[in-house]
Amino acid sequence: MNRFPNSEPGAALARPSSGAATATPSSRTARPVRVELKSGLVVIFQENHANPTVAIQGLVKAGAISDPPPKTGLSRFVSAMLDRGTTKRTTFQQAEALESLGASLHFDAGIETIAISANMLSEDTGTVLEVLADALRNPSFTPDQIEKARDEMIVRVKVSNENTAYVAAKTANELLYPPDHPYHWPPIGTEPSLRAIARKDLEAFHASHYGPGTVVLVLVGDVDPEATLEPVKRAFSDWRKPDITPPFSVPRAAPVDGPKRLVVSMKGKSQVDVVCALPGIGRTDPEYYAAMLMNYVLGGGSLSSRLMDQLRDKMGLVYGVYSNLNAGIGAGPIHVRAGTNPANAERTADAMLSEIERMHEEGPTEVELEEAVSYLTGVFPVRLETNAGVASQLLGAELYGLGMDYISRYPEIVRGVRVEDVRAASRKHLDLKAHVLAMAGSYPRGGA
Amino acid sequence: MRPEGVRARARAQVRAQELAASAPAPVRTSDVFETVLGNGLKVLIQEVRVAPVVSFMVWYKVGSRNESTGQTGISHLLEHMMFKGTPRYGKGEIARLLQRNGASFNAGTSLDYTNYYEVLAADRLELAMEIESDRMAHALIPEEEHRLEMTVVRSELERNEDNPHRALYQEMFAQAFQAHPYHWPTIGWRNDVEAIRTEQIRHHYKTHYMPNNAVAVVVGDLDRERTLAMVEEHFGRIAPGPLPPPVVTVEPPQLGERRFKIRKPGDTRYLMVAYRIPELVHPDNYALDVLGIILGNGKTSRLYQSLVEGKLATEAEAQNETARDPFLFVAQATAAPGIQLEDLEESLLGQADRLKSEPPSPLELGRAKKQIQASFIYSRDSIRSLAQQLGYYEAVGSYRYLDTYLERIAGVSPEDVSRVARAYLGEDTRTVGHYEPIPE
Repeated sequence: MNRFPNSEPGAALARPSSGAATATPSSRTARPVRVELKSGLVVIFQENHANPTVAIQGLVKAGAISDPPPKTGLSRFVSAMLDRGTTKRTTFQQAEALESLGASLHFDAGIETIAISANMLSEDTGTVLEVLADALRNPSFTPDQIEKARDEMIVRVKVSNENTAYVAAKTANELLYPPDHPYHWPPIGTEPSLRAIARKDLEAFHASHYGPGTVVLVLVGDVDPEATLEPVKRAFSDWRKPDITPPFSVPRAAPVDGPKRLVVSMKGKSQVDVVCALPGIGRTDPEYYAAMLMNYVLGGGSLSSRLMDQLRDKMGLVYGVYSNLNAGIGAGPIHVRAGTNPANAERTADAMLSEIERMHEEGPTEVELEEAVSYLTGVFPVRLETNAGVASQLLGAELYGLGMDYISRYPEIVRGVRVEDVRAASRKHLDLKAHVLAMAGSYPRGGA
Repeated sequence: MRPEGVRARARAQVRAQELAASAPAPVRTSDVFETVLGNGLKVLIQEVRVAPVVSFMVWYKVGSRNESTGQTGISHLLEHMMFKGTPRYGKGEIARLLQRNGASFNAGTSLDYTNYYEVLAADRLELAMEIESDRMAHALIPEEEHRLEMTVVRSELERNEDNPHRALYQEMFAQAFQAHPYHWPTIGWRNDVEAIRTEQIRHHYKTHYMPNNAVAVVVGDLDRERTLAMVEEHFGRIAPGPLPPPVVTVEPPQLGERRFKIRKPGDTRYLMVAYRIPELVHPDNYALDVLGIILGNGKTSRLYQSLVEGKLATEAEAQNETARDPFLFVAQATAAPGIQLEDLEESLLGQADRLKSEPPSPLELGRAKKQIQASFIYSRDSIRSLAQQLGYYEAVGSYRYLDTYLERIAGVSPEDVSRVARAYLGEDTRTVGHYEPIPE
């Protein structure tokens, strides 16, 4: 529902509470092996021979930030074509090649990247890699499948536009970023933008954005790096790089000139969703870890965050209230969001703003910071419990240049953040002068 | 029942299982150590030394199945109140303590069970046991906290109301079950939830939360003997109670198709068809599980190939949803723009009917079985999913069910699939729901 879905690899690192439980593999002494093929394709291996399975997480640097306006939704459209037939296989044959092995392969379009995820028995790793390479390299873009994908995406837009949480978040982004900024636009596109996308647009985007230089793959599980490199090479080594490397960055947006507020009235809804958005920071910003801790204390998913404590437990206004730091390649927005009864919408918005303001003024207490550090370092091995969990951390480490030793360094990085750093981050990033607020739902009720 | 890995691939935003039954993928159980404490607490322990992490769960055999009209939703409400403290842990302290210790934790209520879990560093297992044993016997459930929590629960109810998939499921249960408690949603009817008094929640707690109505599951990086001693130390002193009254209501046979329609403002049409199927442990569920995959799991499935490739739907899927008592085989589809639900329904029913006379090809059957087998192996990748499976099956039947599951799946023949299609996918025992939006 959010503009920045969980599946975004960066989000796995940026969001301390993404809940994907998990931990260092049995061969936890084994180090990840990173290989860069001559073509530029990066592949990372981490061995864990506890089970005869392999998880792949990967990315293509071809997410919605690469959409050429006004063709919003193009990047997602292209990714939706990857499993709809190639020059070698029909849609059915692609699915059959995986499903007959009990394997799975998914492409999930995000704001910055297309996320790749796959699960397989280790004996099928070579086959799945070949199917994956075929999907990335040779989509056939048949007119019939284009129309089906278009219908599916338009339905998705319609369904999303009926969802109060989605509409509130989308509206907040429209208020926070100007139309010439990629974060202004919904990555899923709009009905008119999707209708206007033609086959040649899909082919051109694919040709310029899909290549060995824009793909990263991480394989975790029952793999032997040396042996598995062979099928990787077979599948990818003759993939030619596009002549020009597409840009992969997001411009810094100019701050809004004073707070803005917008209410979107929707019929027949039981809830109003409230989203307060502020300009955030990028994942590689030196202040990232301070901001991450700030976000955790404010509302980063814990039941005892300040927002949950106040709005849920003390005031009984909401089922849940969360803040997200969408730190990626670009400085994604900070979103604070909650759904509530229409009668409580104003109180919820006010309470939300006053908690943000309090954090802006005071920052966290020493105790709050200590608890945050204790949680984040303690839960880290839990998040690394599965192969997919490990893979997603390594993928983020590669994307943001954090180093292959990132997993082992993480606890000391988090412990090294001082309370002054977090207070400084709060003062800088939670300034309500720069906030926007969007509400969506059956509001105002009875003209109130 | 259908394995989690397979299920994760399906596309619906909300599944019956999420609202109701939960039947995760099967796991080999030969490594499971099983015992019963003197007070009747069933304990399942499994060593999995892959990561320095353990998963601890307590499952109570109580869910919306154990409720009655006027108090629907009370099990879920009780689950919320279990975080409100005990004499030992003040309000909010349980969550705070677990967070401080880096635990991933939560609780859930369903048709047949309520569970509480912690996943945390192996050396902190005792904390989870201290908390769960304390609140098994000493939850305070203060009236003031109940009052405050009502707004939270109301908000959860309203969130559900705004979701078309949930609305369809809820109405489907209400239509398909008229006497059995599966009739109402786990979250309860709104009026009931509003009317429940704190003393009723306390009574519900005393009636159902006791060691002899619970299962404790520990999976992960642990030493079996030490873990058992730890369980004994923390839970062994809790006195057993009289077992709660059994659920006696049996849903009468359905004697003809039922239909319903939901109309709300919106833009997208949805179709849901559900057929009555037997209780989890019934032997026909093996073939029904396979049938669910052939009909509606993945892009090779019949529903995807006919409805989605045929441009009638943008998504389509089917699944055999099992529960402790007889439940439902559910097929559903989202209409493509401009497609009428009547046309979509005709095609969907046609696919279900075809399997009655034409058994699946060996290739198709093999693919379905392979998906089930692979997801069985994937499920071993996570100690949390392992603990979830053991706890679920023990709470609704026996974890031993998992021992023979794959064998029984392997034994399903093409003719078995057609036989269960004929036996269960009949017109007279189905309920058809249309979500027909009112254009804005």
